[in-house]
Amino acid sequence: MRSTQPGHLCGGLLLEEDRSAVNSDGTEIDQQFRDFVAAHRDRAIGLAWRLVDGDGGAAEDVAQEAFIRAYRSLHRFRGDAKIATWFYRILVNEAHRYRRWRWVRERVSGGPVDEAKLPSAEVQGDVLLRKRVSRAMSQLTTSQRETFILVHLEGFTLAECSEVTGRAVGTCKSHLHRALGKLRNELADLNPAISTQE
Amino acid sequence: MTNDEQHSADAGWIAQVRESWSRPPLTPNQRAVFDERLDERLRSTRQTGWLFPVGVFATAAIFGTVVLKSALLPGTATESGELLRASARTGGAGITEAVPQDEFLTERDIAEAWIEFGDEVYASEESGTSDLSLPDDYAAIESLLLGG
Repeated sequence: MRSTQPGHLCGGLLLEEDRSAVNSDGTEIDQQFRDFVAAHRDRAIGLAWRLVDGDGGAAEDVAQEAFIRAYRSLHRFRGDAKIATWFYRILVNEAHRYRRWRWVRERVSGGPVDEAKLPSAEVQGDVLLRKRVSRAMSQLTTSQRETFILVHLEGFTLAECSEVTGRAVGTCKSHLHRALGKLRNELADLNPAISTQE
Repeated sequence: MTNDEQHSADAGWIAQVRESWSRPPLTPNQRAVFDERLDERLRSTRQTGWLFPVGVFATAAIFGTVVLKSALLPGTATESGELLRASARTGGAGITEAVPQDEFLTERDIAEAWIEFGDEVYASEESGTSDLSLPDDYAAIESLLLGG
């Protein structure tokens, strides 16, 4: 279940874990937590952005909430996983919670979220392609989306995906297989060469 | 199509999705804003972190006091006038002292007033100068007892 590279997560994409962060005095924890935030901020916001369907504001809110919750819960971190894995699990849960809240809000307000916001307007590039990807992603179940995003878009291993989502590795494989099947039908014609020409 | 071929074919469109469906990198300004907001929230968390346990303790203490008082001092769990008066009539300790004696007559007060009244009647009859007679209506009795 552990990464093969000690001190690193996701094939070296993330920075080192620091178990001492939860064992030291308050001041040191604060400084180490700041370092942790600095190391994971961009990646956390990027992952949150994908998990909340490209809503920039929501992604930052989710990342903020995840960091705050992680800080408050540092004393409960048992060291069973890497602290980064533990944090991303909090982040995925926060994103999940946000999506549930948005679902309820849509039902109450009687309409879907403004399509223009999905994905957020600040993203540069091919708008039609983004909408197409977004539409294809929306056909996946939450579990399939999370697994596909974590493994294929964010570079988590299946073992790390299992730890982050709290699902068995076999279940993650199954979700990934189904997600690929659905997305392949919609997006298999995408080709980097074609995109470059555009 | 073999698995390897399938993986190879998938790799192309997945790479395209990864590239096109991603948030643009944060600018230094966006990072600073994010960090500042997070710092502020962390400060707030540290400052108010003690409030919750203290609040819970205070609530529990108040609740415990009320329950304990209610259990140990029946009739004093509420501060309603009825209970205060009842306590005063029965000569209850503590709370009775808080009741103004000129506003709430106890049974003992009334009894003593009748005794005094009887004494006066008896004394006047003994001396033969009886100008006192038992009032025949309640208002007169009350006026007499209350000294009105």
